[in-house]
Amino acid sequence: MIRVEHVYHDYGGKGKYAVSDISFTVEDGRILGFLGPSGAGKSTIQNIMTGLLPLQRGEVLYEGQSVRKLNTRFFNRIGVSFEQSNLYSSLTGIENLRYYAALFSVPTVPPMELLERVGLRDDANKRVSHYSKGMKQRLTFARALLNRPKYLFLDEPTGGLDPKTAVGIRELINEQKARGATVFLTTHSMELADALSDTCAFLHGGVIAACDTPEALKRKYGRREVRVCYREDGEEREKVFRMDDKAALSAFLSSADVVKLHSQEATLEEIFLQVTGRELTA
Amino acid sequence: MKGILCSGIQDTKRLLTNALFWVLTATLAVIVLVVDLALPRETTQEEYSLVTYQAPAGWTAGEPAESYEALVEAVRQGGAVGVLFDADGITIVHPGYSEKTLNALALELSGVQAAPVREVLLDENAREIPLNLRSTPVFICFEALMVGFILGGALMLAEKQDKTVRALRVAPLGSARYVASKTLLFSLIGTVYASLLCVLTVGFSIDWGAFLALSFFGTAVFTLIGLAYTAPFHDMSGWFFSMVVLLGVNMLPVISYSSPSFAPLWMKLIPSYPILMAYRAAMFGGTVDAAYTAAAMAAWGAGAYLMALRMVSKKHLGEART
Repeated sequence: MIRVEHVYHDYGGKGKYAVSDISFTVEDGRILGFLGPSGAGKSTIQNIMTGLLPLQRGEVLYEGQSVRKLNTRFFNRIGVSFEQSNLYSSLTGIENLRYYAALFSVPTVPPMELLERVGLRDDANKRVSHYSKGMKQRLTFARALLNRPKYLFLDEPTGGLDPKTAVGIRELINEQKARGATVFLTTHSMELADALSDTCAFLHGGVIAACDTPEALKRKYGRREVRVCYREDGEEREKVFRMDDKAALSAFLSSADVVKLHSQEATLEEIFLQVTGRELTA
Repeated sequence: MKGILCSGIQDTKRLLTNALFWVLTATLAVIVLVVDLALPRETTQEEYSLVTYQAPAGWTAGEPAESYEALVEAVRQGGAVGVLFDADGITIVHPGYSEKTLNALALELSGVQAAPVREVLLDENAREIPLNLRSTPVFICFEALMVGFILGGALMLAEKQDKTVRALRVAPLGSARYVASKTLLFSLIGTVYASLLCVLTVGFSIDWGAFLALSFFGTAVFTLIGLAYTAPFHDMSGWFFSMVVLLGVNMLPVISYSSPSFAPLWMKLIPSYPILMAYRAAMFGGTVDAAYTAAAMAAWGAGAYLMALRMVSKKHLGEART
């Protein structure tokens, strides 16, 4: 379990906080989607959690142990996929994975197996400098899985990928969850967060504006309405009913020529807009 | 150990695609060709510096030594010719100059004082050094042994440029392992370079034990200094120009190598000084203060290791790591 308690971070040391009073918990084997637009502080939190940034104030605990006291061996248990790929461009794809695999003192997944899973088997022996942006992104993702990490940090893992490849990456993330990995998913993709997250946290202006399961957020912020499409006088028409007005809805359904029925569930995008007052764009 | 070896193998692959690596290799090849083909093996008279003791009034040539021991030390350390004036006549003390040179000097000295001129060869193992080979220890010390300083730094900067250092920061790679891996790799490369340069110019008749030890540990010292020095830099341009200054200072012992009577204490504190002097003894015979050489290299090695560890930990692999 990861617990983040009242974390603040001030880059300049002048009292201007990039993130303020951030608190949340990620249970073992769960996925936390950290949603927010660019500059909201998502990467700052991830960098603090992975030790890339020093913890200035607050606490980050892995199974009760402070991130301040973690030693080098701890990094055998985490995997990080960065938003911007950072690979040895003069090495091939498989050489990159072998290089990192050698750094771990725990059993690692065979590099070719991972390359196959992310669709890079045929390009395994090609230099990374000749890879496209999407290929680099997939290789960076594969690298994060080398050590079968207990804690997996993913920063925009499907950014810049075509829909088919993105689906493959989603499946892989779900597989990591299924084997018990705790996943911290940083993204501004509402669709990805909705599909994968057990819990969603909305980050805006360096503070968490809302944090709950996607279903709970939709219930809380969505419109409790049902939209009914029906046919009358040869034309298709619509009528909206409040969900708590069951009698009226029932009476209408029994009398009308109903074509379609929609619950008016809000998307995470709409909820984010409602909660923060701004759109969830990159 | 497996991790260090694997990192070394992958770093070697990275080196093979690094332009600086090929520039250094080509430079070494040019040095071999110049030494073997362009420089003469001897000139009409060898150049040497003169150190005198108890010189008569009016004698102006050479530098006066304070004692006979100081004169012997100047000859031992760097190849000067010592001239001792005493009641028995004139004694030439030398580390292995040619008969032609000594005869010329004796002739010159015999006109100064009507007394017999004797010759003392300090070390029976010392042999005459052909002119074209005299610079070989210098080339080895400041080219082959610098491979770790220059290329180690280049690899570190490439990691910052590719941002791969961020991935290293979240991997279980301690600073000690990072430093050990790079130092081991470049010490081996430096030893191979130095050996090739020696074999292709001087040949095989050298003290290989001392030579290999000097090459391996010498490259290790310079690699460690290079890693410590490079860690705070973020781009090649700033690093390269300041590195040239540092390497310039490191080359100052060449002055003492060619003019042995000039070897002040500060010169002996430069890391290349004991290595350069020891190379000459290992390659051409002669005596060197082994204890001083070992102590100086050990001190520089330990200091550079601690500095590299600290700088890599703080400035390269990240500040937040414990």
